[in-house]
Amino acid sequence: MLASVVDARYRPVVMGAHNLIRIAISLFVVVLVGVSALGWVWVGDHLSPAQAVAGRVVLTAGIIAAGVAVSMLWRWNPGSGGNSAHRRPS
Amino acid sequence: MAKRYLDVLNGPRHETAMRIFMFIVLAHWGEHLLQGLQIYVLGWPVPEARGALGYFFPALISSEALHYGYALVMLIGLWALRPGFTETDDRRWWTVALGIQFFHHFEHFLLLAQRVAGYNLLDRPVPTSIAQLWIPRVELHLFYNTIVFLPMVVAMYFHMFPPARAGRPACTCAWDRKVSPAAV
Repeated sequence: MLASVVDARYRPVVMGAHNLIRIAISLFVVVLVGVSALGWVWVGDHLSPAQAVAGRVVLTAGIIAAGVAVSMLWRWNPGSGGNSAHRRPS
Repeated sequence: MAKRYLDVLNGPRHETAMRIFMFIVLAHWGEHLLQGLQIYVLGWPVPEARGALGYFFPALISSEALHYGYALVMLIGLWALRPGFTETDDRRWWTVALGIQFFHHFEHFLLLAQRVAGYNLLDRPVPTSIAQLWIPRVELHLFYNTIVFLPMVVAMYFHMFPPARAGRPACTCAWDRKVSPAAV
């Protein structure tokens, strides 16, 4: 019994294809967010106040969209133990 | 003829077409990200920050025709590959990307038309799109490319891992269906 409890607690994480792919996508999105964040700082120092606000509005919107997209990827659970009816890739 | 070509493109060749399309999209992203780094990190003046292609071929990047051409390729790709997205969720997000790209393409069309006509919107010194009346060009393009790309990748992820209830799709994009539909 103890063995089964230990086995359950320390079950190795299976790195399925879906996880690898969404990690890769998430990392790319992090790069996009990083460049947008750099832009957010840069426009404040280099553009007129009106242009800086406009630039920051769109960069912020892009960053929010990136957050939404990444959260959608990670909420879409193809695993059998997940909360959706999606297929676990073989 | 065109319908048969589209059927093949959205059937046995969908996976290959998607890979080629994504290569183009990522190469374009590489240019925009490099341009962002040149401006935001290296401190290059905006007109000098032209990515990698523009570093070696400045005239190429300053051409509105090139930008319009890429926007058109994106629009055609999103439209032509859409029938291959046969499930509800993947098609919905691909369609969102198509809709946003349509407007993005229209903005580039305006820029190209001004360059060709030799007359700029509201007598601006350079060709100017509608959103560019308020928003600086580099940041606007980062935004446009981001909001087209994000629903695209979400759609592609959904397409690669379809719901269990899904029927047999015509293409081989689903991760657990790496066999030719014709061979089954």
